[in-house]
Amino acid sequence: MWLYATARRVIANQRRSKRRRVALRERLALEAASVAPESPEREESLVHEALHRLGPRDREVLLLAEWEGLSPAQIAAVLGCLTVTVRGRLHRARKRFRAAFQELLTPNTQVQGGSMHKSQSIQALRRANPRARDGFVSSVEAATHAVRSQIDASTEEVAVRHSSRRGLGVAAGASLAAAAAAALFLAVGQPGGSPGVANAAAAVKEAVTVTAASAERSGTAVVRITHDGRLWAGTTIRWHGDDVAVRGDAPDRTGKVGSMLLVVNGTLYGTDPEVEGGWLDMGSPANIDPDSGTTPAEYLAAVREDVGGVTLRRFTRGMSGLTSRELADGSTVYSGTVTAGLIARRPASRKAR
Amino acid sequence: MIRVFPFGYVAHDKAVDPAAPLAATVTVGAGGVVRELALSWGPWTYTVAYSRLGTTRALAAPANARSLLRERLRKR
Repeated sequence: MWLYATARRVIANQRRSKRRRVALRERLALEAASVAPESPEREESLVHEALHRLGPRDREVLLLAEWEGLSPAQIAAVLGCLTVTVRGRLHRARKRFRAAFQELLTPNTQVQGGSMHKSQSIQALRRANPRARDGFVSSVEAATHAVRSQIDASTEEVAVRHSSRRGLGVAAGASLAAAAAAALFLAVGQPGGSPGVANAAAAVKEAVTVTAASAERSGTAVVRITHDGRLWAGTTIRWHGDDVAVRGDAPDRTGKVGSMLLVVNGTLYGTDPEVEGGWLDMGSPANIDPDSGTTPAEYLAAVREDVGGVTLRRFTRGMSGLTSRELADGSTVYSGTVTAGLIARRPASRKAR
Repeated sequence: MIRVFPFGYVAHDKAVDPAAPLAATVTVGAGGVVRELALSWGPWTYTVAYSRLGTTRALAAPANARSLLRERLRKR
């Protein structure tokens, strides 16, 4: 028995060794066949263009790893997420960067023998690290000065603190110079803007993207309208997958507070007006007569739209004159103006209530 | 012509005019997620506060529900 087990392990080891040798041979052949960009300047330009094509989250995690030299655990501390999440994001970011870099490189070079090896693009990215360049320290000092001036000049650019906090908060106690340098890296490839200075609109846009993604599965929204400081109308909506609970927080026509509409597993429930604390099982939302007013299906479709990214984007898309201020708890308030027509719209159906 | 805010609330006063500028704020939490949207105009405020995004518990069907359909059939 022992002999069989040992023989099995020896054979498995030999097979693994052979596979590794073949893979190494193929990789070396590919690297030899691939043609690098014609000059370091060209390569750096392609790196920046490829970085620009990435989403901000991909760029952030990739540069924290490749340029800042942070480990996945350190990046997790920066971004406030799990190390395993960072590993996943990093893997995807590297993959997207490689694809973008290769797409840019291919029209200008004759890559033979198939695609370039994946390590080449990452090596190019590392070579483009500004930290490796002469004069890096003086560049950082200049960036620090620029950031400080802009923070002084405009409250809108307080967003840079937000960006720096989120992007490189791990460097607890880091100087403004370090923050400016980090922001410089993270903003690489952004057209038309001062390097390292994320504007408030971009910060809001990013927050909306993150929020919409978080809200896809489940969430809670509390809606309030007040007049002269008094509650005029209010609703609390909870959603989880296709299930939705809508509770009225303001007195209804009968003066009762807390009437509810609930859809769970395709069945509609409402609070029972005759029994305190009781519920009515109303069957499928589709059973309700469409001519009876706002149907639960219409209502719920509207709620589903309103809790997601559609409403968030509508709200933030038209904001102008943005300023920002940070609160003690670390959150940021972006203030501006929006035209009423972007938010309050003509009802597409009878969903007004 | 009436106009409605997200979640179906009817707009009042100045907010009915599509061109009227309304003061708007977006509060983004330290984690980078939107916490609150707020509008104000005159004496009115409209807010949407988000919480437990991605972590809200599954909804449960009420155990004591009275079937409307069964009652209607019984009455017939």
